[in-house]
This record gives sequence, structure tokens and C-alpha cells, in this order.
Amino acid sequence: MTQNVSAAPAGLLRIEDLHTQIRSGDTTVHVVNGVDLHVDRGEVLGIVGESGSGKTLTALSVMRLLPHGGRITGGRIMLDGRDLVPLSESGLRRVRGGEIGMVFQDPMSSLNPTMAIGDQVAEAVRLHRRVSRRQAAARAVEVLDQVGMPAAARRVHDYPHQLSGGMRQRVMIAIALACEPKLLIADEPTTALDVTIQKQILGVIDRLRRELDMGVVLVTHDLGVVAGYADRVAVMYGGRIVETAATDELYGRERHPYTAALFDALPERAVNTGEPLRTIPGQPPDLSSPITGCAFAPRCVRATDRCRAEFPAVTVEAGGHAYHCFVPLEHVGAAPRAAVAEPAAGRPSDEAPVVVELVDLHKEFPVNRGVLQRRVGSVSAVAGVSLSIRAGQTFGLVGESGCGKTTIGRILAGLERPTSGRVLYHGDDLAGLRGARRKRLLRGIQFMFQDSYAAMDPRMRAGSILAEPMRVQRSEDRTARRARVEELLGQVGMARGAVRRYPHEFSGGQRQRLGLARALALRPELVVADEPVSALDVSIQAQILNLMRDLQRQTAISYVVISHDLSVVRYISDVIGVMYLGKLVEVGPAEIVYGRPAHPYTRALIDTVPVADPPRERARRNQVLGGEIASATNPPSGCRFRTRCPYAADVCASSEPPLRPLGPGLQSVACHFPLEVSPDGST
Amino acid sequence: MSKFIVRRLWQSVLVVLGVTIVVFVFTRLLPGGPARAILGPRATPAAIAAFDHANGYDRPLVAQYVVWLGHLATGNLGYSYKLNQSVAALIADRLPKTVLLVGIANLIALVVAVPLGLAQAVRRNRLTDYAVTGVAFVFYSMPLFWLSILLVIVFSIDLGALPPQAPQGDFLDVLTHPSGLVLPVLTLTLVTVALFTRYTRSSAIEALTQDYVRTARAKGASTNLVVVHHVLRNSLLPIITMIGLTIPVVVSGALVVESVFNFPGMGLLFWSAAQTQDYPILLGTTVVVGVATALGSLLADLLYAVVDPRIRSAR
Repeated sequence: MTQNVSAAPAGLLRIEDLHTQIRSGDTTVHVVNGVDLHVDRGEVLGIVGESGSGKTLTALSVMRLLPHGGRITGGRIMLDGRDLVPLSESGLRRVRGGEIGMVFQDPMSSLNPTMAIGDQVAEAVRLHRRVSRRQAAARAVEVLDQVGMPAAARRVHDYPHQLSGGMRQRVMIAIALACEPKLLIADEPTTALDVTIQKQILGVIDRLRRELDMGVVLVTHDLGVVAGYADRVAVMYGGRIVETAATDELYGRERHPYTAALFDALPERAVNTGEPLRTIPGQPPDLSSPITGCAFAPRCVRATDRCRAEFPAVTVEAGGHAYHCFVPLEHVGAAPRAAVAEPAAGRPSDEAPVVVELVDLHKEFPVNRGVLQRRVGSVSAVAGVSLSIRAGQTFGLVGESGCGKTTIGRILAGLERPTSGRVLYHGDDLAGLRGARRKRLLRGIQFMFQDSYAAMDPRMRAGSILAEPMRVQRSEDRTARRARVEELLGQVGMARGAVRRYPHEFSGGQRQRLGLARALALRPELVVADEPVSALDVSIQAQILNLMRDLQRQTAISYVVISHDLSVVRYISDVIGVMYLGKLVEVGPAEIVYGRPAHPYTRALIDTVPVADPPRERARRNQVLGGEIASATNPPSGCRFRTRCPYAADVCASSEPPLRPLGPGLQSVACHFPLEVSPDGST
Repeated sequence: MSKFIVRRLWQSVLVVLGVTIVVFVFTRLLPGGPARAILGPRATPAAIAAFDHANGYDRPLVAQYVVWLGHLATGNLGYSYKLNQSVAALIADRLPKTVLLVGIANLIALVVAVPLGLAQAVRRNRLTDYAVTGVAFVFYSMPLFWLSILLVIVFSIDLGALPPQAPQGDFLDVLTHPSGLVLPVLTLTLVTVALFTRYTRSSAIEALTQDYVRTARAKGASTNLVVVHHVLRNSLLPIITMIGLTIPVVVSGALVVESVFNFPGMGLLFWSAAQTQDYPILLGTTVVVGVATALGSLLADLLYAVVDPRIRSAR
């Protein structure tokens, strides 16, 4: 690109033809391959893409914080007309933190565990401003206050482990903004947080952008997050920006087939259509050698020979919509796609027999202290949950982290015993059983883990991993096991040759397939899936969700799907249960609960889940659920949600609302003041 | 925090008691027992019985243990019949010398090794790192006696700069003749530095790859600042473990170096007692080393809490 810089001063940050490589050993990975972008003051640019698309490495290139072996090999990074690429390390240090602030994904690991948070913020101040220690400390309190840290003057002495995830991320933002930079780069700032906290954090970033007139680069994999907050969105694939446009334009009239494929894979786009989710075939590109042509061509249904031979030059439409594609999608007169369909009646499956029933389930974890490990209290993880799971049904369990949903899953699968209450499996109480009978019964309930890679022995081949449940239960002989393993691989869409490979040789999606296959090995009636897709990219997530649905249709298996992601739960579930602080607050047919929530907490969760629909997201910007989940060691009296509930009254503190049905075909809700459910579905 | 200290002190007391029981039982179980060892192989059974009776060795084991424990508590560690001296006096003579020798060597090693290891971590896989690693491995794999002799040959025999033998007198004598300490200290220091740099390097490398280091860089911090403010404290835990493990070594002495330089420390005391089956000395020194081990791990635990706020609040 040969652009005259002095003639083009527009843009706070302007990246031109950026190339970045990471060398490790003999291989060179071409992670960024000619990125052009710009951000103005006061503007939010969203960069979206799946893992490996180069979005994070583009952001890190700007700060020159590349991982070991990383190097910018070409291009320019102009900040206010000055190129950062040729700057020396000491010159760049003035830019980092001073002119550009950066927020990272995981606020726990990104903060120094041995340093008080006030000192960590003050350090940033002292690096860029000639101030005394005391002035820096005062500034730290000021910034922490600005990012919404309650009682900031007192909390400055706290250490990161004493704070919640949301508060830690506020500290990260305070560090980034301590010197009032011109530009903020936020790399997946809310991915590790609950949806309600995510919304709070995005709100903080957006408010500070206005107050400080900053430019913001928001890097995320979540098309919903950028919808509400970005002015423009750039879509990355294979280390390049393949399409960029104003947010409304991109979400309605995307031209690049990859962008369209990303949208199509979103679970909320397929709810109620009964169709499987659209997936993106094939694998992400291998960047260890330079790519000729369009990197997406091998996975693109529209690709031509020309796409494979040369990279398409940019096409710029009126309004600045730019894309790199020879065969763009046409949207002649087409209306913007409807993001979320209207709620419809749930699938009728109330007649199916009950497989597992939980009756008044309690689980408390002791808190021990002192020489004799005396019990000084307990964490009430599950407090009186009753629910039933029917054959062939999917029961979706949602709630923020710490609500007890995972504990219920672990109790169901026999990994944990309840403190009191019953787990009825075909009439047998699993909670009371011991020994061989329990072991045999538990065959019928299997567990699928969130992180399949961590849940597999790295030194076992896939074949042994799949055969292990049968070995443990001494079911089938050797040849039958081998046949079953092959059958399982077929069921989850993997080749037979996979038996000889090790877990690290598979992709994330393939490992999740293996995890599902292992859960199915003993032909269970119920599979408990804890966050089955939360570690996967959208396109892979769609493949796994489709697979789970297909298998259910073929084998009438039941699922309990535990997830923080309401869109996923809504797509796959027949019944949804919403948990808050150990209590089931609302349960009922998926479409009723999602479409006409009766509990204020359910309503708040639905309102805070970002959806890929810009006008709707902007309209909901102020619908934030304040506060954070209360302590489970000392839960609030009465209704546990009352401390955050906008409708809370005196009665909520004095008496606990029982879970009661609202009417035939409707949900049950535990609330003194359930939201009015009018016949047309609005609340 | 103070509660935690009290609790850990009690635990240390229990550990020491456990050590005394084990040591006591083992020595009483040896063939012949202390009477045979003291009176010699030709002692008559009557003489042995008389000796056992006179020293209370014919009483029940529990009673003997309680009496022995009572002596320990009053500083009476027993009496060496072979050397005709009380064990307490022997240890009081040897212990300060050993602590001086091994303590100085370890302190110097720590002061040298921590910055060296940090520097290696920052320049990992570059020339400085490889050079230090190489030298460290050479010293670490060198047998102590060989290294000692090598140093004696170079500095005492060839150059004549330093005495080849440590001062033989009491603690004061050692203090007033520091030149005699140089070679033994140097030998120990070289080997210990080699060990300590390995620990420091690997824990600092781990700390350097942490996300908070990236955060510090994103603030605009220089490498030196990142290392001093963020890496050092976070890589101290393994080093503290190492210091805790060093304390019993400081007390029990460095046998090889003490032999080569004929340094009358705890190591030599224990060694000669073991050869002559001088049970009272063996018992006494083992108890002292047991106490030092318990104190060492207590010290390490307290230092963990000082360095890491997460450990502090978990108590």
C-alpha cells in the first residue's frame, strides 16, 4: 500500500498492511498477513473472528507485546500520525500505558497475585507521570472509583484473589485507563465473565470511552458483544480482515461468505426452525506456510478457481463497506435478517416417562478452620432443588457461576453425594446406595466435560479412552469393546483411524466429539453435559450441538445441559431450569421460560445475553442487572435474589417464595411477585 | 497471622517429639545396646547388667524415654563415655563453627544466585544463559572432595595464598583466623550457587510467562522494573523452600568439606561418633538436626505467608 501519511491524517490509529510472524524452531507461522484498519477518537471498532484468525495478535502487534518468537515483518502502525513500528523499545514504553491502554481476557491471571490492587494501578501512573508516591496512590483511588469499584479508597489494599471476577476486570480497566490513553485495546475483555457481569463491564468501557473521548478496539469472538457497542466491525480470517463495515450494515447485509457463515452458525438463528444449525465445513487454515488466494476458499461453497489462485483485492462500497471477495453475497432489496424468532410452544414431551428425579436436594460444602480443622460454616451450593428429567428430553440448567448448576450435574453423575435429599433413578435412590449396585446403576448416567482435553489422559490413545468406561464396568469382552469403539466413532462422525491417535493430535471440536463418544460408551439413558461447547468457536459449537441433537433423535437419550450461555441452552433444551445461588427459581418448557420469563432473574439473564442484532442490543444497553451474586456461606434470608432484584419488597426478606406452577403448560416460578405473563407473550 | 504462627509452632513441637521417639527407639534396638558399645565386646554379662542398672537401662523403655526427654528439656543431651565429655559441651563447641562455615557459604550463594538466576531467566536461551548454565553444571556435578583438593592445590600449594587447613581451636580461634575459612567456604559456595541458580532460573522463567508480566509491560514497564516488581516476588516460593531445606544442612555440617580441610564441625563429630558407636553423641546430634529441620520448615512456611497474600488469607 502506498498511501501518503501526511495527506491522510484521519484516524487515531491507522494500521497499514501489517504483517506479523511467529517463529518457533523451524516453523514460521504467518499470523497476521496484511491487515489494514483505522479507528477514530471516540469510535469503537469491533474485531471479530474465531481462534487463530489473528485478531488478538493484531492487537498485540500494536503494543508490540507479541509472544516469544513473534515479530512484525512489515507494514505501519500509525498512532496520531506517528509510526510505532520503527520505535525503539524505550520509545514504545511511553506509548504503552501512556497513549494506548490494554485490557486482557483473564483478569485473574493478568493481575499480579502478590501486589495490592491499588499499587498495581499506581504503578501505571508513576510510569508515565512525574508524581509522588502519594499522588499516584490518590490517582489510583480516583480511577478505581471511576470504573465502579465500590469503596475504592478501602479496596486499594486488597489483593486480586480477594475480589470477584467482575471486580478484577474493573481493576484491569483502571490500570489501562490510569493515564487517560487515547486508545483502549480490549482483548476479549468479558469472555471469562458471567453475562450479567459482562454487561456491567461493557457498560463501564463504553461510559469511559465517552468521558475520555477514546478510540476503542474491541476484540472478541462473540458477535453479540460487538453488536451493541461497536460503531464498525472488522471480520478477520486467516490473518486478514476479510470484511469491514458499519455495524448495522454488516449485521444486515454482509457480503463475505465467511461473515455469513458465522452468523448462520449462531444457535439463536436456528431456534424454532427445527433445522439443524448451519456449520462451516472443513478446518481453519494452516498458517505455517503463506496462503495463496483467499484463505477461506477451501471451506467456501461459493469458491471458484480464481478464489484459490489469488487474494481478492478490496471492494469498497458507498458508506465504507469493504470486503475481499470475488463472489460476494447479494442482498438486493433483502430485509435485514431477523435475529431472534418469536417464541412458540414447547415440544410436547410431558408424557414421556421420568428417568431421573431430584427431590429436595441439598449440598453443603464445609468450611474448616483451625488446628483440628473445626467446621466453622458451610457453603450452601444447592439448597432444596427438586426437578425431573424425562426420557428423550433435554433439560437445560442455566445460571451465573456459583449458582450450583455444576454441583447438581456432579451429583447426578454420582461424582458427588448430596448432603440431603434424594436422587431417584427409576425409583432407586442413588444418594443412599453404595457398592456394586450403585456402580452398576451409574452406568445409566454419564458425564461429558467442558474441557475434553483436560479430561482425557494425554498418554492414552483415543481407542483406550473410549473403551475405558466398558473396562471399568467390566461390560463386553475385548472384541465387543473394539466393535463398540468403532461404532461410537461412527456415531460422532469420526474416522476409525482415530483409535490410534492421542488427544493432542485432535482439534478442539474433535476432542469434544470424543468426549461425547466416551459418555455414550455404556449406552446411558442420561448424559450430563457440563458446558459442552463453551470452549469452542461458533462454527465448531454448531457442529457439536447438531450432533447431540441428532443422537437424541436416533437413540431417545436424555441430556442435562449445564451452561451459562442462554442461547445454547435455548437451542438444545426442551425444559429450562434457571438457578440462582443454590435455588431453582424458574423451570418450565424452554420456549415459555425464554419467551415469557416470570422470574425477574430469568428476565434479567435474557436481557443481558448479547445477541447478534445491533438495534436490539443498543436498545437494551441500559438493561443491566446490578450487583453480584451474594455469598453462599451466608445467603440472604427469604428470597436469595432479593439483594439484586428491582422488585424486592419486605416480604421477600422475611419469607422464602416456594416454587409454584403458574398454570397448565406454563412454567413454575419461585417468586412473590412473578412478572405478569400476558397472553401475547409480552411481559 | 499470629494464630497461624502459634499453630505452626505446636506442629513443630510435635514433629520434634516424633523425631526423639524414633531416634530413641532405634538406638535401643541396636544389637548389644549401649552397654556393649561402652564396655566393649569382652564385658561380662554381669558387668553389662550392672552397667544397665546403674544407668537405668534395665527400666521399661517408656520410663527410660521419659527420663531422657526430661534431660533433653534441661539441655542435658547425654554423656559421651568415649570422649569423656558431655554431648551438650561437644555440640556447643562444634555447632557455632559449622553454622559459621555452612551459613556463610549459603548466604553468599543466595546473594549471588538469585540475581544470577533472574538474569538468566530474562536472557534465556541466549549466550549468558548458556554460559551460566554450563558453569553451574560443571560445579554441580563436581565431587566435593575433588573440588576441595583442586582449590587447595591452586590456592595453597601453587600460590601459597591461603592455608590448606582450617583453624583447629575453638570458635574464637576460627573467628580470629578467617583466612582458614576461605577455601572451605568457597568450595561450598560454588556448589550451592550452582544449585540455587537452577532453582531461581526455572521459577523466574515460569513467572516471566505469566499474564501479569504482560500486563506490566502493557503499562509501559521496562524489563528491569518487571523483574524487580513482578517476577522476583512471584518466583520466591521455590527459593524459600530451598532456604527451609538448607537450615538442617547448616546445623548438620558439611562432612566432606570438613574432612578435607580438617574442620572440627558437626559433620566430623557425627561421623566419628558413628564409626565408634558413640550412641549419646549420635542421639544428641540427631535431635539437634531434627529440631533444626522442624525450624527450617517453620521458617519456610512463615516466609511463604510473608511473600504471598493468598497463603496469608488462606490461614
